[in-house]
Amino acid sequence: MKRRNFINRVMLSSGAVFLGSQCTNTEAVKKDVPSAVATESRGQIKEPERMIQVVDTCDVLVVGGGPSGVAAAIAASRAGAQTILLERYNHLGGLWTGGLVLPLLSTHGINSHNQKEKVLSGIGDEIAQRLVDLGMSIEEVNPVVDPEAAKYVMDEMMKESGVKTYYHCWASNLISEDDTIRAIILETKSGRVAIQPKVVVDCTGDGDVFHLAGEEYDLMQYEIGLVHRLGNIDRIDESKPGYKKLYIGDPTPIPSVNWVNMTGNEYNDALDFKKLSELQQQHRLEIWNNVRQIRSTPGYEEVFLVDTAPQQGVRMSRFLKGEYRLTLEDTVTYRSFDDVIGMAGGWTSFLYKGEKISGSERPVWQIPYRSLVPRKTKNLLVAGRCFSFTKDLFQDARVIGPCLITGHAAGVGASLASQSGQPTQDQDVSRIQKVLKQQNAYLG
Amino acid sequence: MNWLIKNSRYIFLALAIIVALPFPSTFVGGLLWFSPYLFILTVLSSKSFVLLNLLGLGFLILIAFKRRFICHYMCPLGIVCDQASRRAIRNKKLGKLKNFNKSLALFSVGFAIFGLSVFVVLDPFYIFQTTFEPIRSGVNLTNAIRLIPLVGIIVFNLFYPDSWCSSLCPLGGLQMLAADLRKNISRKSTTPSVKSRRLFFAGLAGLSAGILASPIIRKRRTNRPSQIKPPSSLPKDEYLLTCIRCGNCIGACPTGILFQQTDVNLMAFLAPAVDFSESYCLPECKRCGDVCPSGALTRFSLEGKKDLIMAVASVDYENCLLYNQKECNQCKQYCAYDAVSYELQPGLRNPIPVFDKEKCVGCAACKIVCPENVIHINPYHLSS
Repeated sequence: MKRRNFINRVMLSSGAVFLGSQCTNTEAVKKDVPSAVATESRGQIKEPERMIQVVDTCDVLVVGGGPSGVAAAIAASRAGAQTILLERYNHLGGLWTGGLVLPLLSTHGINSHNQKEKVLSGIGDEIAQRLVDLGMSIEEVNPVVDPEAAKYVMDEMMKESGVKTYYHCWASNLISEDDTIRAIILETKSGRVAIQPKVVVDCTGDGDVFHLAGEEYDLMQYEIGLVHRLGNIDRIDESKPGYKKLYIGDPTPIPSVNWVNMTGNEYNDALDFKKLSELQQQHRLEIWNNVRQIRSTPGYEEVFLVDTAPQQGVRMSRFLKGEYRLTLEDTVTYRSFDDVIGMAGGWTSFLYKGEKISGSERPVWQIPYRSLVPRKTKNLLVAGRCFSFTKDLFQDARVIGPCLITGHAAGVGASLASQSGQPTQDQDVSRIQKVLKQQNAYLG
Repeated sequence: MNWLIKNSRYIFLALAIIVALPFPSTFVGGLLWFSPYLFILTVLSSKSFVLLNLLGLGFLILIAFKRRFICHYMCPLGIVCDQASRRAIRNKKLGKLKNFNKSLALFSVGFAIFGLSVFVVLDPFYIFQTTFEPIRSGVNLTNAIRLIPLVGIIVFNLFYPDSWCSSLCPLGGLQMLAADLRKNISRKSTTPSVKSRRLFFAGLAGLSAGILASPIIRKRRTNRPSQIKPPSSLPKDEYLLTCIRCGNCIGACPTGILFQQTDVNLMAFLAPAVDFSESYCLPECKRCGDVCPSGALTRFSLEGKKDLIMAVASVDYENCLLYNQKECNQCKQYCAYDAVSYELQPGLRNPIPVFDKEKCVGCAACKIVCPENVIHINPYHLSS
């Protein structure tokens, strides 16, 4: 080999090595760096590895303390599982209480004999009944409840059924092996900790857990609002000169208090924390100005803002593509499923094949177990507004009634799965149905 | 084969009855597409040609070579006339009628060029099919009027046996004209006869009548009460005169929103109009345009449907759920044309539905779905 050739080759190969090193995945390179210092690259920062304290193990871990999470945790515990529930805010009930979306919708529907039928059952019905007993619920169909009473009732029932409830913690990650969730990582005031459950129930509403577990889902942008309550409604003076009728929301169980909904005029991404923050601020300013406008109207001087909702009213975000996706057609044709785990009703009108079906004439609908089951992860069930359905059903699927129903079923399913050790996909649904019936669930 | 040729008129009679009866069929419009008379009139007046018009064109060529082919082998009305003529009340005083058929055919063709295709109501296929409309869309007084042409022709034949077919039917006239024309061309004869002079004047009269009629029709446009027309329909007056009231679109509409107008307004009598009280116009449907044999409704694509404006929506905000700060999204959710947005208006504390008049086609999906029934659908020209 001539010297010139040799030099050429050396230069070429060293050039190639240099280029190659530029191209390699930064991750691979950084692994060799035994430093705890974070490394940065292209606007990203790599978090160093660290050991995380496992603070608990349990049979069933319910992530999210909204209506579905509460129903799931109580059901799982009553079915014999050692159960933990995680909640990011300081209360149970999610949007029902913290979001001040007070109506429990979808409690009734029209059955195949053309009669109005109550479909809310099991734990959801128990919560509703306790609120009636407290005098904190108005109207029988789609009742409106008092948020503080609902928080109280749910706390009481969680305590009675022995569920460990952790507030102020946010499930931020998970560790899974062989499509099985080994641990859920949560951010708390005590730092980042882990819980090792046998089975997880995703009741996050946004589907945070199934997203982290790598399941397939649909993502929907929809209206986001902030609900508020007004007080002294009973002291509006209609005789005052200049009085005119204003729309100031709907009655709640407390006679002097109304709740006021907010639709939000555009569709937004509920997973964008910056957008959520922007809306939060904008909505709160809007509400204050609205209340000021109301108070300056003759007769309304004593009306005041009781509170704005602690939780932003996210209506839709992720929803699962599970073992079965429930369709609008299934729900208006009285489709019956062998693996039915609950029933739901209606609240608003919609179009089906050129025909209007109003909220009060909506057929009751069955929810199958498969619509709570993800396709991949073996120890996960999904309940609440992010369970598995097609987009045409979202308006009916996202309200409190179906959340309570799917939550209850997912809790029982998770409990039995933790006992049998079998994947949630392979559960004996007849056993789930049997336990559900023991817990007063109505399966049609 | 001989049997087939011998009985082909009866086969067509059976076929005509089958397509006229309310069987679920995608080929509504049936035998009307076969008629070369209908073909010439609708193509000339609507100045458009659709694929199914090829059938009419084919038969037009055929009748030029095979004299009175349709009369001999196809016409279902012909059978009815023959049967009536056989039972004729012979009255020698009434004598025999002169042949008007060729003049009538030319007159109507002339009328169609600048005016409208109103004379299609004389087409035998149409007369036969329309008689069955009461079975398809229900027996009522207006549908009973559809029985008049057939009954009239039967009675006419009872007094003047065989006269409808030989001396009045414009389809028969057209067939003879076509055959004569071909013969003249092949013989290269140029000598005009007395007969052809009469025909020339008939055509000219039709042409001038058409020219005269169209401005009168257009003048009357503005001051008439308005009904909502089906999508893809011609401008109002052309629509009312081009439509042959066959009822195909009414039969084809999956949501049953079309009905026959029974106003005192004679122009609009029996022309299909839209009734949005029970249902709406499906964004995924184009059947009315597909089945119209007259060109009053033109064929359209689903992509183009967003440009076919029927009406426009308006909201009675007083009772709108959103206006009252209650949960609702239905008008926006079900608008297939993206015409609804929620906007904050000055002086209001919350966003309310606002309709984009550029995008709204007036399909009424929002009106139907609205939980509080506060959306109204207005005829287009009144609100714009």
